[in-house]
Amino acid sequence: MDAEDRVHDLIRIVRGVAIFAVPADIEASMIPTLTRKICDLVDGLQARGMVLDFANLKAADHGIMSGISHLAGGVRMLGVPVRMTGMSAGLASALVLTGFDGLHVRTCASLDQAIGELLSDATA
Amino acid sequence: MSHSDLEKYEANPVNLLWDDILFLPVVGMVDSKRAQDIMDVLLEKAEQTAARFAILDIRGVAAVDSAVANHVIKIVKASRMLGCSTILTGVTPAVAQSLVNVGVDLGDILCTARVKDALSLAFRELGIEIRPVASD
Repeated sequence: MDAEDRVHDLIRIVRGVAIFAVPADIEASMIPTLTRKICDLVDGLQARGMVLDFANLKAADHGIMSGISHLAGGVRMLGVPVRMTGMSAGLASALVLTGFDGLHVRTCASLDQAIGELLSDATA
Repeated sequence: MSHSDLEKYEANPVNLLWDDILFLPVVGMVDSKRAQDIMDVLLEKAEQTAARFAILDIRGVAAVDSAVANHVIKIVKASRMLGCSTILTGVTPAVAQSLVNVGVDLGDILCTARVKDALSLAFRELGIEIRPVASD
């Protein structure tokens, strides 16, 4: 199954917020397709925000993280705020120790917090 | 748990001081190995508890070199990726001077003078207010 077919399995909507579960087997080459499909979906649904959920991702290189950063940038360009959550201690540590500077996306400690923040932003 | 793991957790006790607030007092010498241990235990606890703040108290640290200072910055960045903001407190004049001398930029890091101030900052951000119990 390619990236295009998988998008609908990877995104779920909770109270108008799109939650993208970053898959464990994500590859940098999948990200442009995912970005296009996710932007279409988020725009079509008029989502109140998007959460990047890293709970399934245990390892990633800078190429993947940079791709995900572009994905978040694309969604933000649609006027949809983005939060990230679910990153493991091991992955965060590994990324920082290899010089990764962060996704430049506001991070939340839990999915509930991320959804809550996005909903309160949307109603502000 | 191996003996070295046990030592790591005993030397760097991360406590859940309040809901969503972790506290780690660092006492003694900090070299690159210890700084890595601190990062490991702090991130592990932040992940387990989904805490939103970690107070790192370094008043008990006599000296910090550039390698350790850079490690502190990495700890802050990594914990931020978990949604946990680190507040650095207890920076002594000697440590502040050595940080400035080695050119470490703490501009992006929340710093407070005392643990009390760090706790107040975390409370404020979490919307928690501590008030004395009203007397009759």
